[in-house]
Amino acid sequence: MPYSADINRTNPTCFIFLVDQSSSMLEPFGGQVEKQKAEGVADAINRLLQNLILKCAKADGIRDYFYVGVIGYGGRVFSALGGGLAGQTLVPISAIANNPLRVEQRTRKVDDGAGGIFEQKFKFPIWVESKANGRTPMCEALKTAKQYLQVFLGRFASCYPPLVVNITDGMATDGDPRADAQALRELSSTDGNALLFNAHISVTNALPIEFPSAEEHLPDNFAKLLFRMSSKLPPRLFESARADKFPVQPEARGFVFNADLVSVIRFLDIGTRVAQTVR
Amino acid sequence: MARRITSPRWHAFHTHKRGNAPDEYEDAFAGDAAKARFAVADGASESSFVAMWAKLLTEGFVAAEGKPWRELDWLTPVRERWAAEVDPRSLPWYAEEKREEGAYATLLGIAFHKSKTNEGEFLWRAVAVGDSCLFRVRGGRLTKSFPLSHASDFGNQPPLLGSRGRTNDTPQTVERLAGKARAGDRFLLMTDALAEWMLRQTENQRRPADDIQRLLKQTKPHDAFAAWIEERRQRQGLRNDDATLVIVDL
Repeated sequence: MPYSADINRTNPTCFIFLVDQSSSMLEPFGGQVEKQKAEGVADAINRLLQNLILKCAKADGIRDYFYVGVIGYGGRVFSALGGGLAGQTLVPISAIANNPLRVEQRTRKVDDGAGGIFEQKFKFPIWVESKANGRTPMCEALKTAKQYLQVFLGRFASCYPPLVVNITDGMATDGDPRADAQALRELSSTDGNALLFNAHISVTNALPIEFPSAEEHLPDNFAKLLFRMSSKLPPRLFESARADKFPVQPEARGFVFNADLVSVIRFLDIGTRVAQTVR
Repeated sequence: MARRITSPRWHAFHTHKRGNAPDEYEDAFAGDAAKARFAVADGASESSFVAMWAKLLTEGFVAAEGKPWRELDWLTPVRERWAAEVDPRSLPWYAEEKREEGAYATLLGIAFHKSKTNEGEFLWRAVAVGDSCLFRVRGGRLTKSFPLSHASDFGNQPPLLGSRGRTNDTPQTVERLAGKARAGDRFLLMTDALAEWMLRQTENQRRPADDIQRLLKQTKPHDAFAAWIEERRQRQGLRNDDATLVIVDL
């Protein structure tokens, strides 16, 4: 059965994040005047990286279950890793964990278990800054991701299929991205085809949509385009989504609208899972 | 207090998941023949400081002789010990986050005592959170399984006991079962991968209890266990995971 390879340190899998940092990201996010889409995107990618790291974190360090690349596209296509990782393409997850640009202290509201709420401090590492500049070369970004994956698959031919997560507002300026998306999804390991998931960050104040199986209820043509570019959830991810109470229907795709894809990281099987959401 | 039984013979075997280092084993077991209490636990691999939590849980259960069976009050000092061990440590940001979340593990415990009314009869009580399983073998046949009874019952999100003692850290789904036993009965305590294998073999009309008996008959069964497990991983679809087996003979 495809999508069933063990993810472990000798047979890791690969995550590539494509982060839209074009000037359209200066627009407000999800109807919130005070927050730009660029900030929403930066938060999304930083939370994804944090959750990926926490998935691999043990008391004695990080287990390298994943290799990670972060590709920014805004004006041009570039590795969005900075600080000690500047200019690098694919790095083991432990390198990401140990090289944030900085670690912010944030607060969250937590149920105290007795009907009350208290504010808990937590650390929020930053790897990718909010940024918005130039046009949107999404096609070129997809081509770059394909090059990264070819290198990875050359080394780990029997890995759990790599995942590419594209976070964007959907407006490519260098052509129709569907052909490049398809070329990416046609890459494969012995365990199945590479997966392309899309997170659509929108200016509209529409309700979040997660893992739809049809496009007719999606709010605009950009969302529909990204839906068509997205892979179907493989059976085990689909089952995990259902177990986590997502109302998924058959043919559900790795697409979310004004929502994040942190849940996908939870769905991946690296051993006995703790049921509650990490964050 | 329940009457103690004469110390049963018991054996414990364990091995780590293939691909991991031996010290990354995150199951645990504990037993006390004099108290006739035994336990296994399986630490959730996604949490941290979990081997320690699993170990403390099994030891805590075994030490809890005479504590009310319906309550899990003995967990409180066990949780405090875990926190006292891990909270003072200085850690990188990610390990701090995981420590804050706490460690999670399954638990299966069993206690035996003598029947007050029927000399020669034993009574047992078992408690389970999650998918570590208890089997009773009589005459080479599997005659009782708890809390799961089908190979298809296993998933990767079992109920778990959490070390932080927060709202959901003691799940609603604490399973309890009591029963009778007699001399010659064998009880097997297993963590999930091995328990799933046990049930699937039984469903396929095999006799896994005989297989275990053959392991015990080897000259050095403890040395042979890792290879015995690996062979079943290769040939019988035993899932690659930490594996723990406790055998109690009455």
